[in-house]
Order: sequence, then structure tokens, then C-alpha cells
Amino acid sequence: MSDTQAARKDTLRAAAHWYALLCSEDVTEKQKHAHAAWLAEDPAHVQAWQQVEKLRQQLQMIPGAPSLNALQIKQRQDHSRRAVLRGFALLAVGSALGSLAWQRAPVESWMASHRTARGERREYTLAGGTQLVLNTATALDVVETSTTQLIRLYAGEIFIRTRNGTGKVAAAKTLQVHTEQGTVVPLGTVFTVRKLGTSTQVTVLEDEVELIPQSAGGKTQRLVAGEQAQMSSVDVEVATVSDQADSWTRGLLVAVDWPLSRLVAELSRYRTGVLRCAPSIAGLRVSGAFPIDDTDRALQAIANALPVSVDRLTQYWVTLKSSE
Amino acid sequence: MPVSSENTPLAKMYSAHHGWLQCWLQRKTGCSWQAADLAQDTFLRILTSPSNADQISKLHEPRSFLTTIARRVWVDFVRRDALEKAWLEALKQQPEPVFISPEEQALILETLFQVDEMLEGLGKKVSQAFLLCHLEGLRYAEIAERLGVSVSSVKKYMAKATEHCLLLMCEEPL
Repeated sequence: MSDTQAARKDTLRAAAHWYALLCSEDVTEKQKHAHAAWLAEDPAHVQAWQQVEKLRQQLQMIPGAPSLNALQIKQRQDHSRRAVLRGFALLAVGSALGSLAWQRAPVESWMASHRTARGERREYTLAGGTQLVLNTATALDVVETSTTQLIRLYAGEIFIRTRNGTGKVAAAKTLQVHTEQGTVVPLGTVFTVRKLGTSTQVTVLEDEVELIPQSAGGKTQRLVAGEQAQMSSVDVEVATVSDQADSWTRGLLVAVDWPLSRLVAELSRYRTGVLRCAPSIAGLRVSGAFPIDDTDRALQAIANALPVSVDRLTQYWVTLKSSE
Repeated sequence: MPVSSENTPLAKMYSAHHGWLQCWLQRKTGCSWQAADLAQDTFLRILTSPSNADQISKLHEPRSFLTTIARRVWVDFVRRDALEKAWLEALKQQPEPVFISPEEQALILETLFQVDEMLEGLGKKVSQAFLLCHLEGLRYAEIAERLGVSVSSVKKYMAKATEHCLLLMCEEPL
């Protein structure tokens, strides 16, 4: 085994130990910080941790109780099964991972200074009086330099209201929001930023913001109140919005003539586990205000309004189906 | 099976050895129908694995290569079959009737298969601790009680199982 391979194995072993520690109910804040420090030490640590994250996501894809039961039944039967295979001079089987598309949360979200769990919403006041609200499953770091108050958004969605109308935190300090795709600079007060898969969605509620895609050669785009933009790392696409983009700060998801599939996708952001709808009903149109703090009630409201029934395998595996 | 282009190394291998492989598999499994399926799957696995496809032109013993891959295909087949039966049995034992669409079922079975494969070779308590934590969401203290071990053992089992899975995940696939 080469040195690099040995080092890689050591790193994976360390990642496994961190994981076992973090899964424990007794984990302390100090240990969580030590883990963040370990990640920051070396990109190889981050890489190893991504594998941990992948494993965790994979295990979250299967419904708990019957899966556990099935694996236990099979383990009991393994002995007799081995007899069948003996004639084949068994070789160790390599893993066949990779055929599933895991939705992997960015590794940074594990070590971010501000974060919310799924279904959680949290409000902060930053230095200088900026109001910051984190929507469900959000992770970010706040970095203060002498000239900037920098919010690095790794995942999720935030609402920002700066204290005065200039977008400045203090006389000589600008607020900026960074994402993988670029930078958002407020020239006014109220806006939301949401991290989507390969783009960043910015909605301006009052005044203006400036968008600077990462690789657009310094080109910028201004957005005014009532506009929403999708920013990729190279360009910006602007549209007007009729939706109430900040209704989530009041615990509501407002849909106006949405296809059901969109409503389900939005609601699933606030739930742990899998929530989806059958293709046959995906196109049904739906309008209304749905409570995001009680998504079961929201699902019930959908089932009352549409020819749809809610199928629950467990509370983590819910499918909307046609009831006709 | 898309090996119609006759000049690729795989196509040559297919025409030279497919019949032989199927006979070999029939002797092993005792079923011609299953042997035909397994032979096809063996070539399919070679075709879909870039590292395997690269090796073909350099092989000195193509038949021993083929039987190695065929063994793995057969092992996976038996394992999948056992797991599917166990899953259906588990569903029957659920307190409430469960409806799962064929798509969901396929997705669950594939994931279960991968999890089962990863945990193979670990001690019973080690894999149980890992599964109880992830699939039942039990706390370490509860797992310790369930398995009759100390909490610090549970933590060790978790680390061991995780390390085992990570090593398998990071291995070059065969």
C-alpha cells in the first residue's frame, strides 16, 4: 500500500470516529467545534466527510422500521444462504455504490456558525442591527472584516432587513451575501436569498440590490423591488414576482395557481424524510396559504381541497396519490 | 445487449466465449434459463464498468476473467433475491398495511441491497448498533441497553461500522 493510500485510510478512520462522536446524544458544543476545526485543517478531511454525508443520506432514503426488519430477517437467513453459495468459492464483493442520485447537503453546512434544522426557523440580529432570518435547513457563516459584513450562504434561504435604507451596516461597512454563484450587495433594505441546486435566487422586497455573478467578468445586474432573479455563476435571469416571497418568515407558504408538484416540493423542504406526489396528479392547480410549521396539516388541507389522498409508509415516507 | 459493433474487444469476447460461459453457469446453477440471464448480466457488467472494459484487450485468460465476474453477478443475484423476500416478509409484519409503488419499491430495495452489502463481514453487534442508530433513530444509551453492552462500546461499534462502509465506498469499484 502506498503512503497516499495509507494516509487516505487514516483520514477515513478519523472521519468515522468523528461521526460516531457526533451521533452520540452526549456530544458537547466543544466537540462540535473541534470537529469543525478538524474539517478546516485539510481539504482531505472535507473530502472524507463528504463520504460520511453520502452514507448518511443513503440511509435516510429507506423507511426505517420495515428496512431494519428486512435486514434482520435476511441476516438470520444468511447462514442457510451461504450453503448455497459455497460451491462457488466466494470472493469478497466490492461495493456497487453510485447508482442512486443522493441529494447531498454541502459539507460546509455541518460546520457553519448559523444553521437551522429542517422545519426550523430562526432569527438573529447581527452587529450593526441587520435582521437576519434563516428558513428551514439553512447554513451560513457570518464573517466580519473591517470593510464588510459578509454572509456566506451554503444552503437554504435567508431573509435580510438592514437597519437603515442604504444597505450599509455602518458608515464604512457594506453588507454582502456570498453564495457559490456570486455576490449579492444590498442597496436598500429588504430582500431574500435562496440557494437552489446550481443557482441562487434573489427576491427584492424593498429598494434595490446588485448581483455580481462569480464568473461574469465583473458584469453586474441591478434588481428592484418586486423583481426576482436566478443567478448562475455566469449570468442573471430576471422576472417579476407575484408570490409573497417572504411569507415563510410568518410561517406560511403562499401558492398562487401552482402545480401541485411545486407545492409538494416546497412543502418537503420543511419536513424530514421523503414527500412526493404521484405523476398523475402533479399538474393539478392549487392556490392557498399553507402552514409550514405543521406540514401534516398542510397535507390535510390539500387532501380536502383536491381529489388527492395522503399515503404514509412512515411519517418520513409520504406520497400524495389520486383518490379517484 | 449493445455489443453489435463487431470489432470491439468486448464484441469479440462475446462471440468467442458467451456460449461457453452459459454452459459453465448452467453446470453451476443447474438451470439453463437462469444461466442465460446470468451470462447476459455478466457481459452487461463488463460493458458498464469502464475499468473492466479497458482490461479486456490485455487479457491472457479471458475465461477466468469471465468466471470471476460471473461469480460476482451470481452472488449479487442470490443476495438480492434473499433481500427482496426478506423485505416482503417485513412489510407483511408491519402493524398497518403498507402501499408502496413499484418505483419506490425498486429504490428501497436497491438501497437496502447496498446497505446490506456494506455491512457484510461486520460483527453482528456492530452492524446492529449501526442500523438501530440510523433506521430506528435510537440513542446510544438505548442501543447499549438493547444489545447488552456499554455506551462506550456502542460508540466504538458506530465508528467501526462507519469506517468499514467508508472504506468500501472509496474503493475502486470492480
